[in-house]
Amino acid sequence: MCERIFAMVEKELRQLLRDRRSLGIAILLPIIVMFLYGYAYGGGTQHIPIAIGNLDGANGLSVKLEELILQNNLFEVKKYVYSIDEAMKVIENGEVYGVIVIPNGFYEALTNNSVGYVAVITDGSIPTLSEAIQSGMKNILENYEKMLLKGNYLKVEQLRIVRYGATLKNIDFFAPAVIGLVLQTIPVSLIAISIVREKERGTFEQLVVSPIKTYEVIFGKFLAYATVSIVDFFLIFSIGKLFFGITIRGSFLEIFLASLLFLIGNLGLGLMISSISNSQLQAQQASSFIFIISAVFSGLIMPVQALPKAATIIAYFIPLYHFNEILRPIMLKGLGLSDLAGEVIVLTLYALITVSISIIMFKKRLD
Amino acid sequence: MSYIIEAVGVTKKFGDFVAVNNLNLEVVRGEILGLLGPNGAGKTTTVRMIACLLKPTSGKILVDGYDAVKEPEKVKQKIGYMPQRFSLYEDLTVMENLRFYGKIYGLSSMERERKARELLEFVELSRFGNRLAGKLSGGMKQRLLLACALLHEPELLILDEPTAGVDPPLRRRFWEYFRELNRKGVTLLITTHYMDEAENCKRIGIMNNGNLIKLGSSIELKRSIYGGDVIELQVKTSINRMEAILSGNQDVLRIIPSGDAFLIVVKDSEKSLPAIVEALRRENVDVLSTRVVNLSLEDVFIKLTGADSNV
Repeated sequence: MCERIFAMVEKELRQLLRDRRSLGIAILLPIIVMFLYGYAYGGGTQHIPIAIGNLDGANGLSVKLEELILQNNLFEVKKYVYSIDEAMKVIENGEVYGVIVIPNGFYEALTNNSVGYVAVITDGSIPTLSEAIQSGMKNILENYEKMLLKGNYLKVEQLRIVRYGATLKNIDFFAPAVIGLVLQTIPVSLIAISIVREKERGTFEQLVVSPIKTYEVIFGKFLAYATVSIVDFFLIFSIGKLFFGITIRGSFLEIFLASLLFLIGNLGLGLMISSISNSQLQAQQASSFIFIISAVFSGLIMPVQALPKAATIIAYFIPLYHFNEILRPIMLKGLGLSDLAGEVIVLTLYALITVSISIIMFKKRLD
Repeated sequence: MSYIIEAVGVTKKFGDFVAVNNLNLEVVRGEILGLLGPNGAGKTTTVRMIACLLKPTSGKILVDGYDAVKEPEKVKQKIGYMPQRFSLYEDLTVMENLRFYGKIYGLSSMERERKARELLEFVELSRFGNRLAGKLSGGMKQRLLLACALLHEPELLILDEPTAGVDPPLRRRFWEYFRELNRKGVTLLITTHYMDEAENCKRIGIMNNGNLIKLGSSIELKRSIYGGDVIELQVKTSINRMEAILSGNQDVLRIIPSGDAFLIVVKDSEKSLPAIVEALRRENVDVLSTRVVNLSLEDVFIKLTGADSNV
């Protein structure tokens, strides 16, 4: 049994090394995608979820500022907090990407000294958003100063507090998403194409008349493309580290384990595609379709939380979204898998469902 | 057990289309059995069911006593199958393909190498072991398929149109391979639509529209058209006279006038011809010429399927 599976693995890898197209997908795609995103990202956002922490209580000055924040469509105020601790917490658990804190004594300081400050705490693990919130708030404060200014000197300082920030760069935010996208695209398309190709070229017939069992074929293909994907995993991390100095704050082993889980689900998905495709072209199209949807809803282009409501619901059904929700906190916030149990369960379900459905579909297809 | 394949009441439907209809077939161990018929007759469907590639809609197939539906793994070990289409990996070399299937069939690495080299020699591909299978010519690909089907030393070799699209010299070569394998005790089940090729088979099953319409040796099939051998005699006499003269001969089955000659159906032409000529001479009937009519399988085929094509 094992011998047959390994024969299958060896055969697949040998074929892959000879097939320029598949090899391109396996090796060039991650490199190109990684460099593209590494160098060339930029984009605007709106409706960024934030919280307001008015520690000064309701008074003419603080309420005026809150109103300005609420009117600005860069922000969407999701929550109100009542202490600095609470502000830090809502950022840590990802509920919001920034908190505007109006400190205790804000009214007094402004009326007595004409100088006050507002603290803007942002989630530095997503540098683009962090930056957008800080600069957006700067504009709001300038407007605020102008509104209150009646010939007097008035200054509201902005205290920038970036959680997880310090050394984070744009690539740090994109790296987890790009890694997720690569780890999805490669196994899905390679395994789907390799099976459809056997059907298309008639080589399956020879396998079916031999004593090899269906699960040995599937398992052999699984192992072969898992191996390839793991090679890609290390390839991406090496490029990220060597060329872009990506930040990895959590455990690399845990990143690897989560990736493995995600990989299994993706191989199952690829197998499902192979069951419904009759040609390599169809398999490739189905894989591309999944790639595009995933890219949009995975938070790669924009944080899912900053998308319209309907879009966020779709995102919950996109496995890549959940993988990113694991990878990003581990890499950027230094959290562990135990902190992300919910997402780990979702990925486990993804793997179980796709693998079992694909095996059932595959068996049916053979008859 | 003398039968290596026993198919009982096997029917295969694809939707409403009946590809094989209530087929009963027994293949004797050690024979070469050919399934002859036009495209779409159900030959390929039949052998694919025997090779466990398709499940019959109803009926039962036993290969060496194992049920093809219930114990396909056992059946697959017994069978070497050579499909119509090239079904090996074009991006692997000749040797890599053989090694891969050697592993699939559970051969040890020593056996694998020995067997692969032996078979490449047998099909005369030894020089091409390191060539990519995709870079072989059509005939070479067919030979590689044959070698691959023989790796695990199957008792039964199923060949689906093995010589389709192969040039005549190579077809002859193929039949030399087949006969040599058969001498070594391998049973062969071959589908073909070449009449001349079917002559090489010990028994021939004629298929048309999903039915196995006749099964027997080439001679048996030919005799079945008229019920025996046919002798053509050119004599100057009447049908009545002929019947009177030959009425005493038990071997003469029928006399049919045919132009200025007569066709005489006998049980065995070799035995009867001298006796008939002798009887006519005794009665002073001039025999201008005699000829044993050589019926071809094609005649058999047209005769057997004629009814169908008139419908």
